[in-house]
Amino acid sequence: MEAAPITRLLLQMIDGTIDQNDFLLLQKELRNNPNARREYGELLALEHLLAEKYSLPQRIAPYTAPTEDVVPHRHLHSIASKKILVTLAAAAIIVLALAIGFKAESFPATLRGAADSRFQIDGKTNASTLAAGKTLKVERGVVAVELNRYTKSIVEGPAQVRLMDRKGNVELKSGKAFFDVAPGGSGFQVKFPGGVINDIGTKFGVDVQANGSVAMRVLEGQIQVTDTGGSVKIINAGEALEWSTKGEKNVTPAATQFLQALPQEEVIFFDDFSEPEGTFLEGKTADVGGAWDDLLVDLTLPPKEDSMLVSNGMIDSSFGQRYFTNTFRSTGEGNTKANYLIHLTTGIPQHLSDKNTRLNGRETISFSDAKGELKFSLTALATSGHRWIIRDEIKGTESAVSNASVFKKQQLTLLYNGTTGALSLYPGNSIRAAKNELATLTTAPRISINAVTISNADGGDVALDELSVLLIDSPN
Amino acid sequence: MADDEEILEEFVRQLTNHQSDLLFYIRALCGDADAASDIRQLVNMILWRKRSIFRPGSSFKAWAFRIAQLEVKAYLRKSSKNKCYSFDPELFETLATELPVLIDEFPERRLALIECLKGLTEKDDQLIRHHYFSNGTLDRLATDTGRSVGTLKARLFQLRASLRRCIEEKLITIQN
Repeated sequence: MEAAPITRLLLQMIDGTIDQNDFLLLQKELRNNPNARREYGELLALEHLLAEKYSLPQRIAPYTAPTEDVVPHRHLHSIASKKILVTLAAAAIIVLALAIGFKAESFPATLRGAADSRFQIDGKTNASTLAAGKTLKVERGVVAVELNRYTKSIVEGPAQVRLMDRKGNVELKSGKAFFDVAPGGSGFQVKFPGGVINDIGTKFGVDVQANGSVAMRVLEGQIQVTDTGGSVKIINAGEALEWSTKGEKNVTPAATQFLQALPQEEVIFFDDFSEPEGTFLEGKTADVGGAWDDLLVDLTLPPKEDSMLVSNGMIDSSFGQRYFTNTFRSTGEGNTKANYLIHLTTGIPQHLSDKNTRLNGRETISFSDAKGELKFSLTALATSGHRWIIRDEIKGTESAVSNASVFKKQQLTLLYNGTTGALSLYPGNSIRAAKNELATLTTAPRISINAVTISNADGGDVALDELSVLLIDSPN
Repeated sequence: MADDEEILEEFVRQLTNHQSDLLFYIRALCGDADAASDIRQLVNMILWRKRSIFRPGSSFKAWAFRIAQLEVKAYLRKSSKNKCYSFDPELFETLATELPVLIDEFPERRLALIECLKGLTEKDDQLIRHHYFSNGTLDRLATDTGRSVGTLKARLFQLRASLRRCIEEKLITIQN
């Protein structure tokens, strides 16, 4: 049997979708071919490790699931009747384990960042784990850290957190972090400049501010704060406190806000222009989003032959002036401080011969709100070598000219930060690894965008292979 | 008394540390993820009953795997009328012997997987996370991204095959 069919059958077997004939065929191959057996083990190991990585709560299910939560297996009638005994035995093991002080450690701590986050450990970006003694530096965005089986943390950049030991205790050096300690995780400690917090089964946030003061807020349970002088204070659920070298003072809980989960991410626009060759862009529906609308076309007339078409999996404005717009999928009343991550993949336009002679040429991809008001754009001018710049359409300001040419096959990512109003253009389709921005500009914060417009004029041309907009929405 | 307590503590530590390996081993032999969870619970119960014969320093894994083999066989016997697909005895024994070697590589495989996942595009990363986090259904992702469920399934097949190859290449690099 050929390699590829074996892989397909092995994956079908792992997924439980293999039919009887294929199973018999596969079994014969497994019996006779050690390489096939090895591949079976490797694929199943991959399945096991991916499930382990992305389904963390299930890792503790064997110890915690009550009888009614255990999904009965369709083939396991004979075993089902023993479930209560089984569960009791498993529960007994865990109770015993806790009684004798044994704690199963989830080590090293695992990391998961929001799509717009950037973080590093000892200068290494994109790390997935945090070892004891190492410091997590969150430069931007939000990162979820699973410190141990019982303790999860949400760290808001900019922040620095050091994992102090294998148990998951941490030192918050700067910035904000929220901690959720499940029952069984008592004894958890957070060290901060000036003291240490001992958790007493709770949810709480800590904010180590640049001026040296430390704000704490308890949402559930209570925490015990011990400063370096040895004085102890208990903070209960619903209370907040600000600590500094000058002393401590109670503050209103509303003054200290903490994110308690990673932001929600939703693709609100996506089009890869993968329709059949010659599909008119006018009226074509995006993969996610509305139908493209050519604002320069007279809809009472049949489509012109020179109207923009999908060709080779992309759209190309060459040989005409275009002004296409499309709306994003509605997300209802979202958070006005949401971030947007805009990915675009550009191609090479067919018509390049006039680009050095038509000096008023321009290409623009602009973004507007629900009222149709332009907010910001990526634009390029012939006078600037057809290289992308960011333009604030509210104030009319522009970034420095980037070195990214419109006429190049490349991936670019534009990040809008709804809290600060910062717009940053990065190379590539992921901003986590990008060291430097191609261009930056600050516009108004709290902008909500709802539509994209692609246009060209005076000999400018743009080819677009893919465009997507990801909404990254943290609760207010 | 203190010795008994230490032995018990070591037993619980071993039992806890081998849960993941045990689940993989059972699943590989019985071929069914749901059944594997149930069988693991039975194995846990048997190990717990037999804890008095555990001696620190002995191979807990070999002991647990032997019990797991017997329990999987018992399960396959009992469910033979209902279950269409189970390995024949010869293949079962071969896999039972060969798989522990692969399980020993799990720490390196975890690290290699982390490296290989970094090479995924955001779309592929999203697909993998969605599949394993939400435990299966691709309908929602298909709706969200405008791709068909069939396309996503096919891509998932390709991704798993390429991740396997990537891990094997990384392991070879580590060994060299």
